[in-house]
Amino acid sequence: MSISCIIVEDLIVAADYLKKCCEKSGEIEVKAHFTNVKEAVSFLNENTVDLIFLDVEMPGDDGFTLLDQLVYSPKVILTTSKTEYAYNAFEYHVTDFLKKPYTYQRFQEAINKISLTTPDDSKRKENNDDHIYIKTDATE
Amino acid sequence: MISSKIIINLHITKNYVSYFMTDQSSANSFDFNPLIHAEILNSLYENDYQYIEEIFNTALTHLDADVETMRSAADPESLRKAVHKIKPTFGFLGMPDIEQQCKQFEDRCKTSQSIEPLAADRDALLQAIKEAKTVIEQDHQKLIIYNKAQA
Repeated sequence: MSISCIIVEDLIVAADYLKKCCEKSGEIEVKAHFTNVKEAVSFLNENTVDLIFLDVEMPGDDGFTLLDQLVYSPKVILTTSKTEYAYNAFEYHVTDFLKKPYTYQRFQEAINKISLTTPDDSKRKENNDDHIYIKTDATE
Repeated sequence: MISSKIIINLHITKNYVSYFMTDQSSANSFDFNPLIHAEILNSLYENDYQYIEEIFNTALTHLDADVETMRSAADPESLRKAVHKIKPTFGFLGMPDIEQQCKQFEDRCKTSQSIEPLAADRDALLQAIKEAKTVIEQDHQKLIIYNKAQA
């Protein structure tokens, strides 16, 4: 199984570490890395991914603003150094919350939660995009 | 198909042996500066010294820019954000003491209305970060030599 993801993280060390973890897992494909929300949203408006690794505090908008702007619901794993965001994470139904720095084992536990849950909403979105339905009273 | 299986198995075996040998030698072969918690690095990077060298290099490449953002912050919120960003760098470098200092200062920034009351503590933190950077630079150089010798 391959899970496609993007990383939204302004700290390069953290992003590199996360990329390595994904590579090591053998099941996560990193499609792109963004250091701010604006660029990430722009990408997500054109592309579908299964998972977003999302930092909260970044230059400009924060990670929760990105979640507010999504038109579909990929799985989300928050990566932050601040445990204060745990409540917000719960409110946004994120799959897991990784406090930086985290071990590979902890990363793998988060990924296991993705693997154990039902097929993600992004797939539903993909399917919905295949059709549109128009109701009409017109007759020939 | 058979060839592929053999290659994969050999690859896995090679990794295992490599890991095992690294693990066996780690206790005595590379001594990190006492300010760096080797056990944290080992828990994050599993005794992979090439990887640690890469992480040190990446951190050193970006640290100055983050420090400059911190130094030039004109208001408490900008300063708090700058410290918040730099903080986990030290977690990834096995320096929880500096990380904790950053955390405490970040919390202080939240309660201040202006930058002036924070200036002295900011400068002290910048000095601590500068000293930490020197330690990382030194161990980075040592790691380069160590990893070359191991290759």
